[in-house]
Amino acid sequence: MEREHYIVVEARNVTKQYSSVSESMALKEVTLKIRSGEFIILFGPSGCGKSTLLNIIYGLERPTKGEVYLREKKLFEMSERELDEVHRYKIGYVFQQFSFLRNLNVLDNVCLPKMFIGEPFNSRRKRAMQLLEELHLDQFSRRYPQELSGGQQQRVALARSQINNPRIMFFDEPTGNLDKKTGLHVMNMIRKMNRHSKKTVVMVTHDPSYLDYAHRVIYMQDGQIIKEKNNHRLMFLTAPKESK
Amino acid sequence: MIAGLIDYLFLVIKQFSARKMRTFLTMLAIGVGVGSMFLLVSFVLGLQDLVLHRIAPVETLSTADISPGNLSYINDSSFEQVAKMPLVNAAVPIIYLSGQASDDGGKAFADISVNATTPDYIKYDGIAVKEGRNFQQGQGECLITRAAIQLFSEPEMLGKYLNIRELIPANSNIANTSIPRVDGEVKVVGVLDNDEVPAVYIDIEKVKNVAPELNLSGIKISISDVSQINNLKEDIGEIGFEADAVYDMVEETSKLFNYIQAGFSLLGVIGLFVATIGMFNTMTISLLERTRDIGYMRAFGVSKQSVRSIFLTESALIGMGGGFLGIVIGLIVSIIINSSFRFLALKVGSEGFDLFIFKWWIILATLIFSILIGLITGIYPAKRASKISPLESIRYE
Ligand SMILES: Nc1ncnc2c1ncn2[C@@H]1O[C@H](COP(=O)(O)OP(=O)(O)O)[C@@H](O)[C@H]1O
Ligand SMILES: [Mg+2]
Repeated sequence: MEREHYIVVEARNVTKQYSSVSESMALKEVTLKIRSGEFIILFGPSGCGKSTLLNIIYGLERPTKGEVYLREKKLFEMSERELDEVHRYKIGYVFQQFSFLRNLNVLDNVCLPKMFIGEPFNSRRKRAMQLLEELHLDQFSRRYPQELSGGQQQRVALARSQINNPRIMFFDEPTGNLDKKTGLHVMNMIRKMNRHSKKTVVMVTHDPSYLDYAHRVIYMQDGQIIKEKNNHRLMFLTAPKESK
Repeated sequence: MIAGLIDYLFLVIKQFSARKMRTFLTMLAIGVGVGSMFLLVSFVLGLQDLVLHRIAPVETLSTADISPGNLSYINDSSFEQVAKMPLVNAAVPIIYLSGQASDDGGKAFADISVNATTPDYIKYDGIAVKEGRNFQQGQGECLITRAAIQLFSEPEMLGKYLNIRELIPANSNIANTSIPRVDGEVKVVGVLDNDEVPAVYIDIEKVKNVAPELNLSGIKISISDVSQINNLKEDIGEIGFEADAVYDMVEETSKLFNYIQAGFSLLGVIGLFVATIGMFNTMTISLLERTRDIGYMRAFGVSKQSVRSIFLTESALIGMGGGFLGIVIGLIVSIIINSSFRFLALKVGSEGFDLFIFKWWIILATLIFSILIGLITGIYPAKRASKISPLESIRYE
């Protein structure tokens, strides 16, 4: 039971200052612990530092001060190779914006995290096709991502993030460019991923509509965490046992 | 690198098909550079072939002429010594004499060079027997040059008898003994392709029979391994003789051609350099266009090495495509020139030859060379690509 909920990602006193000239900091002494199986929403107004925080705990951006741990390992002491493996296998990231290779069709874009590692074409395409079927996108597999609608693109990005079946998922404004109905659909998929596949989810949003999807909401403002709210209705501690 | 190779190729081919025209034009530029170099090299080879093989026939390449040094004589025992040297395949003695000859009618005696030797001499010297055949030993036969025919009244000398008399040694080195009168008849069995020197070639036995003590004017040898020619020359020098090898001349000429080839290649390199700049430009544009793509790849765990390999694969493929185009261009141009040249030669009634000569190694070398050019051109863009940060894609939209 205890092992189920140990801390998978931890930010300790993370500070980020983009330019040494300006006084303003994108993040100030942020400390955050994310437990295995949790659904966390980072919530706050635009420009408060949510994306910066997500990119730092993903290892793309270095903090000016502070440490990030992935399980027990310091993220920024990893070798390049280890960090690449984190991005390939351990954390799935669905970016806010269009993030596809325009020369590749949907199927091959979904395969991207399995490319260049010697994995045979057919086996990875089979797996990608499965994921696309699950998301009802199989009829678009030969199309190019730029030809799809925003909601479809978001689902393709979701499929791509799943291809190596990572245990941790990051979403940056997954509903940002979508209408209400499509947004809801995407949110339900994320919830399903958390409940049924027991994935740890960290989601960034400035939209208050979906806050009750999370076990825990982290409120941010001006680069700081100002408040944390547990959603008791969802009973995180028992949730992973409930399903399946 | 190897594990991902098929993916690099896959990605690069996708990139090419998204940018067909640009890819083709870049390859074409490389192709023109490579093709002109290809042409220059095969042109030089053509010239070299013309000079070396038409002017010096192959059989003579491995022969040398030994002549007595300043104060020495080639007698029979030194002939044996030379013939037994390890690199010497065959040794043919020759005695240069001069005398007078007349044809059947016996009207006038003409001064003529008389070379007393064995039938092998003709083979190793590379003079062609134009009519008739080579002479045989002990048969009283001889060969005459075309130039000699003009001395006689009849234009057709084959099968006729020549009367030869008053032979004297042509140079002092062999005059250790006086020659008794060698009057006699020899039958003309072949005409040699030589319009300059009026000469007859007779059986050396005929001279040796009457003057066994006569020294040799020279020895023609055939060498088993020409690359060791200098060792052989030293050995021959030690016994006081000198050796002149056809190979030396050829080697000198070859060296000259190597220089010409190098010079021409340099011109080709300049053309290629220009093409390479074009390719570099294309690679840089391609890099800028794909900054976001690369950023995303990196964000999903594609390693720096893989990004570098993608670009190197791309540039190597452009180089290879350029190489193929260059070979095709080179082949087409040289085939056109070769055949029109042959056609023209035929029209003026002369024997044609190829201006451009192809060798498999040129084609192979051209291909390898252009792939290398591609790879080298790709190094810098590949390095820059591998340094692109994922944030560049994600941050600024
Ligand atoms: N690369 C950057 N260089 C300079 N400032 C940046 C950069 N990225 C983000 N910022 C600044 O940091 C702050 C936080 O940005 P961000 O994390 O994107 O906010 P959010 O995702 O909450 O909207 C903003 O003021 C933004 O302008
Ligand atoms: Mg943001």
